Amino acid sequence: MTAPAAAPQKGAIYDLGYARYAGERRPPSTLWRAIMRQQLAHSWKTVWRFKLPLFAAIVTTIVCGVVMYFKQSDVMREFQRAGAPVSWLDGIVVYGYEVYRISAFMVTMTIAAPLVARDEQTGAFTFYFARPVRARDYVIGKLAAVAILMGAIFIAGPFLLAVYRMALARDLGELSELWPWVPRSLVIGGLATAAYTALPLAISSLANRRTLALGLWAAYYIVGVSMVAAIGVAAWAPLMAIDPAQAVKTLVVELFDLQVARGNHMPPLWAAIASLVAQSAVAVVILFQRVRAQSLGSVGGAS
Amino acid sequence: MIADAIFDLRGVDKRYGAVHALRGVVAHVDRNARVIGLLGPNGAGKSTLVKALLGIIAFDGEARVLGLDPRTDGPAIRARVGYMPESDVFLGGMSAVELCTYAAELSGLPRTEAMQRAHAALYYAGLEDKRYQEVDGYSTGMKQRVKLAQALVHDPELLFLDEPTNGLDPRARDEMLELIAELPDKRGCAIVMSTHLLTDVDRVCDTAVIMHQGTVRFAGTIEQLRERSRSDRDLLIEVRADAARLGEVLVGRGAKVEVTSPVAVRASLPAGLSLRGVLELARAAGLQVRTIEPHRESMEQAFLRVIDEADGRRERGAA
Repeated sequence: MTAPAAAPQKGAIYDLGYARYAGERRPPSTLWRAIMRQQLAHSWKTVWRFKLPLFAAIVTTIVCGVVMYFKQSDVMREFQRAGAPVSWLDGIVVYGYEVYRISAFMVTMTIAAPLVARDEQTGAFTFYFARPVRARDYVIGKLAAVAILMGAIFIAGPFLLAVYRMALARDLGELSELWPWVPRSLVIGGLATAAYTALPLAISSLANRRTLALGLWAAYYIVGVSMVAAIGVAAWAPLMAIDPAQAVKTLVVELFDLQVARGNHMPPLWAAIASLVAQSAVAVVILFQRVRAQSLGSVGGAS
Repeated sequence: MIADAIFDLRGVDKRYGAVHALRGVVAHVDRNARVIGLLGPNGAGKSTLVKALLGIIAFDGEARVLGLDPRTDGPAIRARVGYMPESDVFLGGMSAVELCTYAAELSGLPRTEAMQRAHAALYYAGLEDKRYQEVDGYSTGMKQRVKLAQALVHDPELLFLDEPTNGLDPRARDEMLELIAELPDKRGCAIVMSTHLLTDVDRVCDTAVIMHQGTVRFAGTIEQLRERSRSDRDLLIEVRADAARLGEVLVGRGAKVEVTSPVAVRASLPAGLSLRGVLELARAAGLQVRTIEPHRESMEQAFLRVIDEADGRRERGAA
């Protein structure tokens, strides 16, 4: 007969194996990567945050690819030669960007706009800034994570379509005409990604509650810039570029030379580029300043 | 500057506009200290001091924390220090083990090591069974334990605990204080505990730093804090019976007396009355003295005395 083994003490497993960590620690300048990784993992967790908008973007890319294929087919060429109105098919890229933009707006509502405000609301700033994390590490980490998500929508899809369209080229002459599509798709995607990343994050940093941040972003994107753009229609066309959606559409139409999709009112190309760059830059400055203020005040309580 | 100190402050000064939060703070706590109680009324400057020690805010004067200068080595200090805040610091939708892994990564540990130590820290904090649950659903006591685990997951040399027993029921409070008291031995880290609960300080702290109106009024061991009040003139006297009669006799000789029980009085003797004089008075009154010992202050009394002394000095200075 053997005596029953004594139950281990609480925490005994840990205490027996404990040794102070003596390895190298990563320098603070690399901590943004951990922040980015965590944000990406968080965004991927449920269907509603990123998976659904990404699914919409993937379906859009596939549909655009299929339409491009048929437009290049012999049957369509015969239709075109016979004078059938198939030029609307050229506009598929613009319509594709419309869906990408809606998907991106969904991501701003589910991930970007509530992000910084939620961190303030839940006390996460204390969690971050009681560690070696600096304000710039936090800002870079969050911007990078949201930019990757936006880039998957605004850059990856159009880039694949551009490459695919080149692959459909019948001869070298057509190929040489089409190759600028690739860098242009990257420029459009890059500018759109920057604006749709920085703007909601900056607005989020202005609010101290998640719901307030969502309201502010929706008001800015749906109401605020639309009102300014409406004034632009009546007074000065470049003012319309304040609307990120309008600015992105202008880039697509102008850079892909899709006159078929050109509307009656559209800001000039320079205004679209300037608006997206300027709004993104101002947003990053606001975001950094707000987070820096939080980094100074979040640790240690009030007295 | 003494390098071998947990912290060493010389004339640390901080203003927020018109508010003078720290007024030339001077304090030294050496490496022998295990659990340091950081005490002071609201607005005393404790939080500002913690921010200064962690290198989060700029300040005037000289300071060393674990041998590093907070003004230039803030991130390096924070990598070696753990912080358990009073308020909740949870990231939504994360389990305890995810939160602690992330905390360790943000303190510079590689991911694999961070994950192992997250499990270990949660074991230590007594959350081994619940570590995969989302923190949002935890009880107050469990949340306090997660806060402790995330503060020590990266093996800090110094741990700041802000009101660690806040909101806990008596049993959970007892367990938390036990964990805190064990930490210096089991984890080899010193602890700075900011709290309003002086009974907690009395139970686990060996050193106290008392702040008031932006200055450190006392920094030393708990024994030193009580020694300052202990004198031959402040006595606890126990008699066989009729302590009230002894009180009357002593009051008649100018002593301040408080009868604390039927057989005990606390007496502050006037200048002309010695210990021998007390014994003679008792014998003359037919009372049998059993014990006489210097009165030992409670933490609360010692705290209030330090604050009152400082206020008295200020008032005399102003006059």
